[in-house]
Amino acid sequence: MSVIDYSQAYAYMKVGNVTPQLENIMVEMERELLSIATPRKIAKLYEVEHIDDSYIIKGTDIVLKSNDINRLFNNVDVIAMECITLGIAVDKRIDYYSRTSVMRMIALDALANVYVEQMANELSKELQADNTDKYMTVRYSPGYGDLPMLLQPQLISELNATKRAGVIVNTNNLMIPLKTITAFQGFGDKPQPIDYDCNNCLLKECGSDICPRRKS
Amino acid sequence: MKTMDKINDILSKRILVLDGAMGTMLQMQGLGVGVKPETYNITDPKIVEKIHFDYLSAGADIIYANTFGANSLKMKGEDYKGMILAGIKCARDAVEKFGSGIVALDIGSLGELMEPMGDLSFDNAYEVFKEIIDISKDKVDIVVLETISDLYELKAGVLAVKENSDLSIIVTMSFDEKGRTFAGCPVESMVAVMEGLGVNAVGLNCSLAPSQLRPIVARLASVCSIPFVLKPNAGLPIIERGVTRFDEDAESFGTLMSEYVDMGASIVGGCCGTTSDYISNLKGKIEGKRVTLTNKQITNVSSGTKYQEINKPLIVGERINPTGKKLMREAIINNDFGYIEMQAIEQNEAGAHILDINMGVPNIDEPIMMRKAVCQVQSIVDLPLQIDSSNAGAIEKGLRYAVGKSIVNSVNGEREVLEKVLPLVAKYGALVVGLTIDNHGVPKTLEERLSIAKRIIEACDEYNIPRHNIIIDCLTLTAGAEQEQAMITLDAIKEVKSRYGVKTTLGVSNISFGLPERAVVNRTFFAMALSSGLDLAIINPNLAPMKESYLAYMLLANHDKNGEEYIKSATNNIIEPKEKSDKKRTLGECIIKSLETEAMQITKEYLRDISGLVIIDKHIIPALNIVGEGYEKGSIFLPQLISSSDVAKKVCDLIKVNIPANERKEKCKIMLATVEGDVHDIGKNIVKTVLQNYGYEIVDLGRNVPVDVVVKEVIKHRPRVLGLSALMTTTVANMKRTIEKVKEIDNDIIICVGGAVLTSSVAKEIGADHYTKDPRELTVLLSTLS
Repeated sequence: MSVIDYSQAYAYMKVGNVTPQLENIMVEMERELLSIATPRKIAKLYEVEHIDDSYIIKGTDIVLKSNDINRLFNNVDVIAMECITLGIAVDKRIDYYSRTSVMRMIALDALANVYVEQMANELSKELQADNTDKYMTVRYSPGYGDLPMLLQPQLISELNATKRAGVIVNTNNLMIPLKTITAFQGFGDKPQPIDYDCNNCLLKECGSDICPRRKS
Repeated sequence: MKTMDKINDILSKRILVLDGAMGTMLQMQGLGVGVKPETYNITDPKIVEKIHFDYLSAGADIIYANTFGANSLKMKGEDYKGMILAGIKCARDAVEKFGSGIVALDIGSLGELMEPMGDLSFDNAYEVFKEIIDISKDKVDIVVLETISDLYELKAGVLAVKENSDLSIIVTMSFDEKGRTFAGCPVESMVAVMEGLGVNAVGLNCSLAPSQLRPIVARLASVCSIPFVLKPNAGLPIIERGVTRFDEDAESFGTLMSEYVDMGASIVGGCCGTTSDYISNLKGKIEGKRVTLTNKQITNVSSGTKYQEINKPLIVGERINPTGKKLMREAIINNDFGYIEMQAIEQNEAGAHILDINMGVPNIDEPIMMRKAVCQVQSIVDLPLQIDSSNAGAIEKGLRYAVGKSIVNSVNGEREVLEKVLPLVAKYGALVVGLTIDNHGVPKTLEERLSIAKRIIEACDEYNIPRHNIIIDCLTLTAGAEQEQAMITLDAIKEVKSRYGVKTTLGVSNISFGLPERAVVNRTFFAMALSSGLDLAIINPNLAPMKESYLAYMLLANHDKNGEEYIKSATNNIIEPKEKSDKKRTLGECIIKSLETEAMQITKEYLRDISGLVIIDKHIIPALNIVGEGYEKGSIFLPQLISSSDVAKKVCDLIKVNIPANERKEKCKIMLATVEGDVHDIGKNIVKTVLQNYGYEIVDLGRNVPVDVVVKEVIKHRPRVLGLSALMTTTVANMKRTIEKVKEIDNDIIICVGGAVLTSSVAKEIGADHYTKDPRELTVLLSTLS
C-alpha cells in the first residue's frame, strides 16, 4: 500500500502507460523517499485587516496586495502562513540519481513533489479542524499568479523557518530544500471560492499540462 | 587564570551553567516585530546589560553576548560590527557590576546554505567568521558557535577561531528527534570532527525540548570524551494566533536537565523560551553534582552525514588513484571530474566504506587537484575520505576541504616525513596511516617492521595524536618476488595490534603482481589478512571475488549478524530478472525495451568482434532514434525515453572504457548550464544524458551558474552550442544577461534554451537562437546544424 499517490506522480512524469519496470522503480523510489525525507510543517495564524484591496497581516510587515488573493480570499479575517518541507536529503538524493539513473531521478523528483503537496494538504486539514467555525480558502503561494515571489523571504523569516525547518531563501527568492511549499491560506465567516484562473497567472503561456493550478 | 583553566576548575568541582534565551527576554522587554535583537545593543544597551545581569544573578557562569545574528551575510549594509562591539560591552558591563562571569562571543549560523546545495563556499564562510573574530578576539573570554546545521559551516567557523585567536571554543548544533541536523549531520559525526579539531566542549542547542533529549544525550554520552553541552528550548513550541510559547515550565525544565546531568552533561543552559527563572531553577536542581570525563578512545571516521566506527573490518575503495590506471590518469590531467565522480559513485554502490583519493600525477598542481577532487567526491557521495598523498600541501588541502574526519595515507618511518605530515594530522584531528618502511627501504624481518611501527607511534605521541587515530600498514609485498614475506606481513598485523593497540591496513592486491590468475591469489590473501586482524582493506570493491570474500568473512566472523548482508548480496546475484524469450535479442531491442542487464551482456559479446565506435553508430543511435520518434508520435512516453537513455548511457560507459582516448570520436562540444539563481536542473540533466548517448561531448557547468562563470568556461572550452535552462520566471532575466555576455565574446556560438517558463517568443525576446521543448527536439535540431 503506497503512501504517495502514484497517479499524480505519473501525471508529473507524463506517463502514458505504466510498465512493470516503471512500477518497480516507483516502489523502490517511494521506499527510499520515505526513509530519507524529514517532513516538517509549520503554520502560524494571524489576524488581518482588509484595507484598499490589500490584506495587512497584523503583527508583521507583510502586506498581500494581489488581485488573485482578493478574488480567492473572500473577506477573511485570519490568514495562516505555512511552510512545509521534505528536507535537504531528498534534494541530495535526486542530485545523486542525476548521475547514476535519470529514470530514478525523475521518479524520485515526481514522488517528492506529490509527497510535499500531500503534506501541505494534511496541514490544511489540520488547520481546518482547528477552525471548524470558519470557511477556509485555497492555499496560495508566493509566485502563483500575481502574488510576488518577494514575499518568500518575509514569510520564511516570520515563521522562523530557517531555524525551525532548515529552509533557506536564495538571492532569487527560491527556497532550498527544493521540495518546500510556502503558502497563505485564509479563514473567514463566508464561503470561499475554490477556482483558479490561468488567465491571470504570470505563467499563463507556460503550456504546462501538469500544473495543479490549471485544473480549472 | 586563563578562561579555559577557569572553566576546567569549575568543571572539576561542579556543573558549568550557561545563560538562557536573549530573544525571549528582549521580547518581554518589548522587542518589536521584525526588529533584530542585536540592534538593542546600540539602541537600548541598558536593557541588554540588565538581562545579562539577571542571568548572572540566576547562577550562569557564562553569558552569551547578544551577537548571534551579527555578520556580514545576514546584515548586509547594516552596522553589524558596531552591534557586535556594543553587544560585547553590554555583557562586560554586566560582569563588572555582578563581580564575576565569563563573556562568550556568540556566533550563530551565517544564514546561507553551504555549497554544493547552496551558494556559500567554505572559504567565504571562513572569511565571514574570521571578520567577526578579528574585531572581537581581545574583548571576549571564549567563543561559542551555535545553532549550526551544516558540519562544513561549523568546521569553517572553528578553523577561523583557531587560526586567528587563542580563544577557547564551545560548539553546539541543532538536532531533530532522530539526532540529525537539518543538513543531515548525526550527533556522532559532530563529536568526531569537533573533538578532532580541538574544541573545548561540544553539544546541542535549540530545536528540541528537554523531554525529547534522552536518546540524544545517551548518544552524546557514549561518544564524547570532552565536556558536552545541553542548551535546549523551554519545551515544545505552541503557536496561538501568531504568538509562540513553550510548554515546559521552569520547574520541570530544571528537573529534566538535572537527569541529563546524571547521564553525563557537564555544561547546561537554556535556549528559546527560557528566562532567568529557568536558569535559577536549573542551578538549584544540579547543586552538588559533577561529571567525571572518560576518554572513549573510539577509532572513527566521518563525512558530513555518515559516521563510521572502525570496530570491524572495512573496505577502503582504491579506484580514485592514477597508479596503474590509465583512464584515471587521463581524467586527472584533463580535469575530468565527471570520471572521478563516477568512480566514487561506483565504489559507493559496490559497498566501499571509505574512499581513498590520490591525485599523484607528475607535473600537475596536486594540492589544487586534491581540493577539487575532495569537494567533488563529497558533493555526490557521503563516504568518509582517505587523503592519499606524499605531498604535504595536497594533504593539507584534502584535510581542510573534507567536511568530516579523514584518514591521511600516509607517513613512514622517516623523521623528515613525520615532521612534515604529523602536525597536519594533529591540527585537523585526522587518523594517520604509518607505512612500515623508512629510508633503509622495505624491512625484511618481522622485528624490523615492528620497530618502524613503534617509531611512528612514538612520533605520533609527540604530536598528541592518540593511539586510536593511528593505523599501521604492514606492507603487502609481491609474493611472486618475495614469497616468504606474505606470512611476515600477516604476522606483523597480529603483532602490531597486540603490542601497540593500533589499527592496521593493507593495500591487498599488490600480493599477486606478476602472477597468473591474480584474482585467486588476491582473494585468498585477503581472507588470510582478515583472519589475522586486518581492519582496513584497500581494495577495488567492484571486483566480485574480493567483495564475496569480504562478505563471507564478515558472516563467519560473526560481524554480519544473521548473515543479512551476505544473504542480501548472494540473493541479488541469483535473482537478476531476465525476460523470457525464445529468440536472442539485439542490443538495439534491449535499449528500446530498457533491459539493462541483457544490454550489458550483449555489449560485452559484441565488443569481442566489433569496435566500440561501430556499436555506437550501428546499434545505439538507431535504437535511440526509434525511441525518440516514438516519443514524438506519442506512442512512447517520457519515462520510456529516459529508461532507454539510462540503458544506453550504461552501455556507452562500458564501450568508452574500451576505446583509447585518441580513437574516441565525439560529435561537437555542447556546454550546458542552469542559469544563475535557478537551482532546478532536472530538465537539464535529462538533456545531458540523451545528448551524451548521441555522442556529443558535454561540458556540464551544473546549476545556479553565475554569468561570469559561463563566459569564462565558454572562452576555455569554445563549445559549438550552449544550452541554458531555467524553471522560474525570476531567473529568465539572468538567462538574458548570460546570453548577452556570451554573445559579446562569441557571436558564432549557437545558444539553445529550454525550461518550464520558456516559449519560442520568450526565447527570441531574450536573444537565444533556438528554443526546444524537449531533448528529442534538441537532438533533431542539432543533427541539422553544420
